[in-house]
Amino acid sequence: MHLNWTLVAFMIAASISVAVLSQPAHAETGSCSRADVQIGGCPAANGAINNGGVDLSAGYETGGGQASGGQEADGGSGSGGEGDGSGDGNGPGGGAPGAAPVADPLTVVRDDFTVGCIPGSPCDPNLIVRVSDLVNFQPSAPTQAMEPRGWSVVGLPANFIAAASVHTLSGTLLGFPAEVRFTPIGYRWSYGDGAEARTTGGGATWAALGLPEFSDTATSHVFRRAGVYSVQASAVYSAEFRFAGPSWRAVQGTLPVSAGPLGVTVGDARTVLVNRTCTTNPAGPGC
Amino acid sequence: MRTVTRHLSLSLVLLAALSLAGCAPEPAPQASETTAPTDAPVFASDAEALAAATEAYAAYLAMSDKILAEGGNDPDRIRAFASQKLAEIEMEGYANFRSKGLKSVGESRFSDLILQDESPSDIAGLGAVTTYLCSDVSQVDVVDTNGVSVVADSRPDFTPFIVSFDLVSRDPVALIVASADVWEGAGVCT
Repeated sequence: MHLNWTLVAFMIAASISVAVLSQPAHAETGSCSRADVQIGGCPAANGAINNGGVDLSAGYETGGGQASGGQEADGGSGSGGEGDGSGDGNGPGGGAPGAAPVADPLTVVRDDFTVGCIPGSPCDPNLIVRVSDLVNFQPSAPTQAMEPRGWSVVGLPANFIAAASVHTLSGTLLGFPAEVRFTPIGYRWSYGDGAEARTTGGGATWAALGLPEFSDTATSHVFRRAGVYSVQASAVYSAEFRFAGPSWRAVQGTLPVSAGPLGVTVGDARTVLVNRTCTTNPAGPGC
Repeated sequence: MRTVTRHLSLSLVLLAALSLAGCAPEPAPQASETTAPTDAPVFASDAEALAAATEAYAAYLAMSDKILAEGGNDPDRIRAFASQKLAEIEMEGYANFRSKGLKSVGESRFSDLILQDESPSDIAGLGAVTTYLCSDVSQVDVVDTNGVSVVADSRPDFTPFIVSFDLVSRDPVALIVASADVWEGAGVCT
């Protein structure tokens, strides 16, 4: 059965909202009798919500050809059912990027395979999870540091460093126990002087980069005026979720998490000629 | 009529008051024999819940196999092992076997039973345990009256299921299969 994908996506989206509202603890529809399991006659994809007043009955086919292994392999399609979501299917941190032949059956449904579950529950292969659904999952804030520590000089680069790592949290997702894995994909910087930046990496110290102090780095910033600034770094996470088994599915959207603000005092530096250092000869000219 | 009702309710109130008064002085009232809901956990551990689920599913599968091996006869036997809802679904399958003269040969199996959720707080015990499992019909054939197999070529031998169980007795703990739905997720059938 071929259906307009947009229509299917819309129907699924409608069903999910109903399913979430009614908090289905257990899928009770679409069961396949043992007789059908034995014969191999489980009906084609169908799902229904009895209490929500929304019935969904549709067959799905992916664009790819039929795989002989019993399930179609189309690992890259992700949540291709949604117009704006197709790009996220290849999100970073995918479980096994090199294992191409391993089919992810979550992304496809065979026509003769029953979707015996309520849309929006874990068994729904077209379940779409957005970052806004991750209310029970709070990813770690990145750590933040800078060079020089706490101060800078007008006109010279100050080196800012933030670090976040991949981590997995357990919790309840859409009413079901699940794991969510957060992968930092970028960093946002707000320097407190109106300037903002986005970087893919969190940066590193001058020493680690093999650069002299006050060098320009990917994450450095030059303050143009003296003053006290509050610098805020955020890690931008992409997320994946899974309910059981090894297969991760992408969560739509990204999630910025801020580190605590970092106070920076920026001062002017003037070059003067002095007679010995000002500490040994404070009364000297220029001090 | 009204007087009778009033008398009846009056005596009921009196009875309740008396029984309350009778219970009050007892320092540590024993758990009553009624089916009063209890918050005590049904299972001491996940392993215990898994064991109960395994036992319940095995019993359900064995009975289902038996009925299907006998051509769908005496289908009501499944009711002791399945919720009413699931039993109705199974009944349709049995009726199909009967009307077409089909019989199953061989034994259904299952493996990889994984606990998904345990909700012992559910007062009615509905959906007390939810598991994933891998249904294996590789050793099962279904034949018609002429002994010819009617199994579809597309039949998967291994099918992942999400199975939920209802608690029908707390002491001893007894589960029946509440629902058994095909699970599209990976990682169940290893």
